[in-house]
Amino acid sequence: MEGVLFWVFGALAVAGTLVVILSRNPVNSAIGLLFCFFTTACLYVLLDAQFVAVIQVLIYAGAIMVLFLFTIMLLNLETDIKKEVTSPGTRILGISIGSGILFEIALLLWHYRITPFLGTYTPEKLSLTGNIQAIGRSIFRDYILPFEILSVLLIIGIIGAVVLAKRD
Amino acid sequence: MLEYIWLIPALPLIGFIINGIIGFRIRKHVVSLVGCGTVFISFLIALMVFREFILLDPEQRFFQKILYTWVSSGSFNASIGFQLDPLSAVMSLVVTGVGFIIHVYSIGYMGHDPGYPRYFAFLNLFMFSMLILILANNFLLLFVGWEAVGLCSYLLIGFWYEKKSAADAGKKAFIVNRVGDFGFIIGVILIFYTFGTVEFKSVFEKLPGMIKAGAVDPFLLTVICLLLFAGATGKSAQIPLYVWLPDAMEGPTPVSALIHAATMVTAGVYMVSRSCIIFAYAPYALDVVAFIGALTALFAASIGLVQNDIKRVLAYSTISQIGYMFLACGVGAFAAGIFHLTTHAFFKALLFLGAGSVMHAIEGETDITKMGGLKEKMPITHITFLIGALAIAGIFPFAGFFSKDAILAGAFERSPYLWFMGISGAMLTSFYMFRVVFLTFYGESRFPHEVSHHIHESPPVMLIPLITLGILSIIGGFIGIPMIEGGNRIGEFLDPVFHNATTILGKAHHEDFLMEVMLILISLIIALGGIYLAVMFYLKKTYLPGYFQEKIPSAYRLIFNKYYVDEIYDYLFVNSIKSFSIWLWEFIDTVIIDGAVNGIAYLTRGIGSIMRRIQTGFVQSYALSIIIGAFVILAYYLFRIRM
Amino acid sequence: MAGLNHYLLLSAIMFSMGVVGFFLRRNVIVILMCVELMLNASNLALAAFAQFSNTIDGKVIIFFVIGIAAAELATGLSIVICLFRNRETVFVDEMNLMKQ
Repeated sequence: MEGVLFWVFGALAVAGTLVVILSRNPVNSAIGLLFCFFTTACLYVLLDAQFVAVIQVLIYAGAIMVLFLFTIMLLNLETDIKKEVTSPGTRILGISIGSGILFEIALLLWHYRITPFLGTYTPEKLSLTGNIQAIGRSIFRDYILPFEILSVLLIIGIIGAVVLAKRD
Repeated sequence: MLEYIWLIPALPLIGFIINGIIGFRIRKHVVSLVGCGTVFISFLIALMVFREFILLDPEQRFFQKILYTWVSSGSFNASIGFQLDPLSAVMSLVVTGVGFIIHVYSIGYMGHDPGYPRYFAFLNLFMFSMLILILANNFLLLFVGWEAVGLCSYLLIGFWYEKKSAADAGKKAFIVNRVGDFGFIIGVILIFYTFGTVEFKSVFEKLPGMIKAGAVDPFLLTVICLLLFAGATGKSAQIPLYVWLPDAMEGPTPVSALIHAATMVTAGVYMVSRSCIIFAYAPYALDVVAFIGALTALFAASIGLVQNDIKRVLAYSTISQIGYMFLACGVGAFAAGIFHLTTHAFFKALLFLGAGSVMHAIEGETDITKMGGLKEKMPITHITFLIGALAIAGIFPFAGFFSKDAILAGAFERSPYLWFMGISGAMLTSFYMFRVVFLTFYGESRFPHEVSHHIHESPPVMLIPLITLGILSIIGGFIGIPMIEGGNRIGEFLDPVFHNATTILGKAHHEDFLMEVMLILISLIIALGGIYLAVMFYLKKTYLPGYFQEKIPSAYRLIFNKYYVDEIYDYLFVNSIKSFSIWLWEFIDTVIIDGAVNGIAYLTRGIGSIMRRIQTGFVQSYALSIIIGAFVILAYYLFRIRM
Repeated sequence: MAGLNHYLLLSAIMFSMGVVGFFLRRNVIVILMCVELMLNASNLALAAFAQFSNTIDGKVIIFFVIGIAAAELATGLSIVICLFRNRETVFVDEMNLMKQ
């Protein structure tokens, strides 16, 4: 069951990315991205990371995509296909580099079965305490400093956004 | 007193420093005092040293004072040291004595010149260099003095440097000297290579032993001697490097007297005499020396016959007389050569200073065809000049008679041909010398009217040196009278220095009284004959010079133009070197070197304009570089794993 | 059935799509979306690793990444708005004043 679901959601995610990069209308791209986020959340659930999935939907799909759409609406863009794509040179370069990276990683994955070091958080243990508690405990014990820094970063983001976007 | 020998060169050096640095700020009297005073004290010290010297036994007349070790690198050692033996004692007396006289003369002659302090500074520097040369105890220090006198010669010839001909003459002197010096320094290097040392004492003591043991190649010795002699031809103006000396007359007359008559040009003779023992073991080189000396004597005298510039005549006369000195050295009569050096210093300096006195009176005119009738207006100059002329012609009992005869006697022993060249030169010498005397002082005055009004005798500060030198020219010969018991003092005095060399050459003291008297009589007759001819040509039948000039115009032109030697050198050497230099400049400097430097600039600019295109301003190109970087790193790790 | 490698391959595909899209589009907002795509892909890889190595750190890092993405995007979009006010364009190849 899980295997099938993985393929389904994986295909849907790739389809979403294709929509993002190939549609001429930026709003279409935004919708495609939204779809991609949703399918990724589903994949997170498959990976037994429910909390992360919820966070993904809430923040990414909820806040960030809304921000994107608001900006697109604010700028009131025209859609002209001729102007939407870069020059052929850059295009070729980009496609080749992208496929190059994909090729490299695929090559690696094809030849090696990656077996990481095993830690202590087995799924059974995880289901005992629940995802949220485990993550929360980890954040507030081991990763407290990055947490604080992240909060400072968010404040900076807020201030920056206000300063940059206001009319003077 | 001997310990203070180092003061002899040091004092003129102090004079140079004082006059050189603050000379233009102190009063003229102080400049003269410093300049002449230092030389005078040097002369006194030289006298006292000499006095102490002659009290010693002849065997012990050798003294060395080493100041400090100058070079000590590997097996090569050279020190700053002074050596006193009869040869350097005589030379130092001559140099300081005649030098002092000329310094005093200069006070009067250069009195109105704006470069007065500079003149005395350079003159003192010259005295310092010459004394270093004479008193050095090794070849390297001698070479230092050698080069330094060349430098002073350049500075003093080109003293009036605003005049192009003077500046050119200074350059010519230095460059021609350089050619000779090149040979000289190679000779010194070879000496070091052969003997392992450049110190005179060591070299001269080692040589006989090495010859006996067969440890030294005679051919190498000949090469060394020829190279040393090459340096001597440059410094002492012999064939083929004499061409700078006539041009050097552009300098002030006292400079010509001191440097180019009495002292610097005799440095070559001194050096050859000092190295007599090396030359003695290289008889082929000695023959070359003798031949060049005799040839130069004759050649230069012939040029002097028809020159019209009084200083030029004296210059060629100097070249000729030094030829006699080298002739003496070449036939093994080193003592005679040094004797003639001494007497020549006296009468040649006298002649030059006399000419200077004449020039001083007639506003710098040097053309003798424009002079005449000066003997009434400048009596003392006339008398002293006449004494100098008689001395150089070799008339008994003046100084030149004894020294020249000693040389000719030695030459005759070696080869009658050499003697014949010498005697012909003697005839020409007396002829051209008296030609100058008669044209300058006798006959009718050929001066323009305004000049002849102002002609007056020179001031005492110039006359007293003339008189002093005149007296020396008269009595100076008596230190070398041959054959008389108690005579030939100078020969005996110098004997310890030349003893080994003359023994090797097999020169015994000739006892052939008759032959000597015959030779003396012949030379006297020849000299008087020359004077008689001069009287004929220039006093009595004055149409004769013009007559000959018309009869053999090409010969006259040839001699008058100095056999076109300067032009030949120009064509052969100067022009080819000049065009080579121009080619170097045009091709190598402009194209290659400038091209390389400019090329680097162009390259930098080109690369810059290419690299500029990276700064596109496009976000995507910047991101592209990031992604490419990631791609490359990934690829690298992939390769690491796979391989 | 889906092993770690599969998840990583999927993540790689999504990432390279983001790269291609970055160079394909001229609209700056779409470019920012592609950046979000890339971030998303790496999040997926992190989650996969967290699952298959029995650790919790991967999920924690995702948390932080999402937070950073939010801050960055807020700032970025306000810059875009500023640029639009000045240049009246959102196309990156017209915003090349840095060339001079």
